[in-house]
Amino acid sequence: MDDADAFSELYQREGEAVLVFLTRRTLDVEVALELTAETFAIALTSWRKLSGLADEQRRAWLFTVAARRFGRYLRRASVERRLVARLGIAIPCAGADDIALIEQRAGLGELRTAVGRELSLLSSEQQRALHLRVVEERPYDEVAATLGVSEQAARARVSRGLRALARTLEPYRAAGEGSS
Amino acid sequence: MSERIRVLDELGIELDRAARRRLASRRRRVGAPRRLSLAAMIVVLLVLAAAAAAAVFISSGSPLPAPRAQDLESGGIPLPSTVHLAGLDVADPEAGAPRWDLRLSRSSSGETCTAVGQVLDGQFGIVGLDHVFRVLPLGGVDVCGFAAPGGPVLAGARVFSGSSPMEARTVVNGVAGAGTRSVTAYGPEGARELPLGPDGSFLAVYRGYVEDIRPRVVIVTGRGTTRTVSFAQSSAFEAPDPQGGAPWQISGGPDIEPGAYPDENCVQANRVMDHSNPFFGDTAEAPEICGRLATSPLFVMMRRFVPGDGEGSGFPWATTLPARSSTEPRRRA
Repeated sequence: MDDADAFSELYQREGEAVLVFLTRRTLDVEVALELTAETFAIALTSWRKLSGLADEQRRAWLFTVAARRFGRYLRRASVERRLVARLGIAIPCAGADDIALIEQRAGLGELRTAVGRELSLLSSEQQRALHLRVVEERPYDEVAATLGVSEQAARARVSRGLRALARTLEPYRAAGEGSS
Repeated sequence: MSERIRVLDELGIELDRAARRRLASRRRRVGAPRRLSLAAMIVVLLVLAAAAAAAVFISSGSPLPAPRAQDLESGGIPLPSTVHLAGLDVADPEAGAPRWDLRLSRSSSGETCTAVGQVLDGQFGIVGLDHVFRVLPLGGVDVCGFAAPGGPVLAGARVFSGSSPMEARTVVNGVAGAGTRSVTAYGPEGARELPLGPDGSFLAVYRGYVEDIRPRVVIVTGRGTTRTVSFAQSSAFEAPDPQGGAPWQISGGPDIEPGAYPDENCVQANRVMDHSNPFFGDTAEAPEICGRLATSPLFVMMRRFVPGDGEGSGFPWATTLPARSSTEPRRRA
């Protein structure tokens, strides 16, 4: 088996797991698909290193990269597609059937219910801060100006809100990923 | 059997194609020299030396067609009687390749116009990816502009693609104006004071893409004022790499991991995308460092990265990377 075959086999084996992992974190299939593509593009450009690892180590490496791409996505509120673009990879569009299937495999319905429930338990200030930063993707200085607080306070509100949501979602994530 | 996710299969086809392109070319690049016998290597070296000395691989093709007159603004058409070469005669980074020059002209509306090209056998043209030299049409210009008070007339960076990043060229060029005292170009190898042609015209050629080189020119005008023009600069916090090539950038934000303090912030250094490094993905992302800005308005971490370090940490420092030390600061805004 040559390197390209081995890489494709890795994708066949882990592609869906990575996509589900990212879908459960982003709650958005299209964003998760882009992050999955970038994760595997990084794997491809790192193949010289990955090819020397055992299967379990490769898997761990892949999910570490996926988690870091997700972290970067949260911080920047945008998906990096640098390597995808550089390698000339066209990210296909997910149709309605695909989205429904991926959401089902990721157990997104249950997660969304949990997010909605936890969101309603946050203070109104935190809800507003999260809405401005995450939904409207406003920069922190604008969030702060809209809320009438300092930028540091705005960051703290968003940070606390996201942490609260993350705590709530962790058991759901763990349950979903344990079975994959 | 569970239902297949179509979009995942389609992405798999795209990745498979990319893998075959990339890994096949890597195999050729990495494996071929090992299979060469000593005699074959000598033959290759002789051929390369001959090519470098005489540039015999560059042939001449048909001249490139001129742009259609109706596609040009009437004021932007260069007057044939004003067209002349600046005579800058700048060497290409590749020995034996045609030298570079700037063609100057004036338009009917009085603008100064420039075109970047190469000179072969007294003709002005450009060598394509197929290694064929083609004459550029007389009416072809890159850009036109009016003289600005106290500043350069024109300054730009033209990028010529290559079949590999090292074959790409970035040509920094411009017209700084009559009486210009000096033009200094800054690139990966440091400062280079450029010879000046008519009207303070200048040109510098770099190997690679502009976003990797990030050149800038500092122009000292006849009145002694200094103007700096930077190309492909990023607003991110960046530091140059000590060996040139892609710089390093730093990004930061609040820590959103479970259990983080509300005032906890993290910062991370990584290398900016580098066309010249075919194994970019191997690199060059330092571990995050985090600190509490409310209790400590500034935190700094110094690290030394040694090739092959960090296995199992999630941030292995590849054996292909040189050792680096980094200082990652973050302070309260």
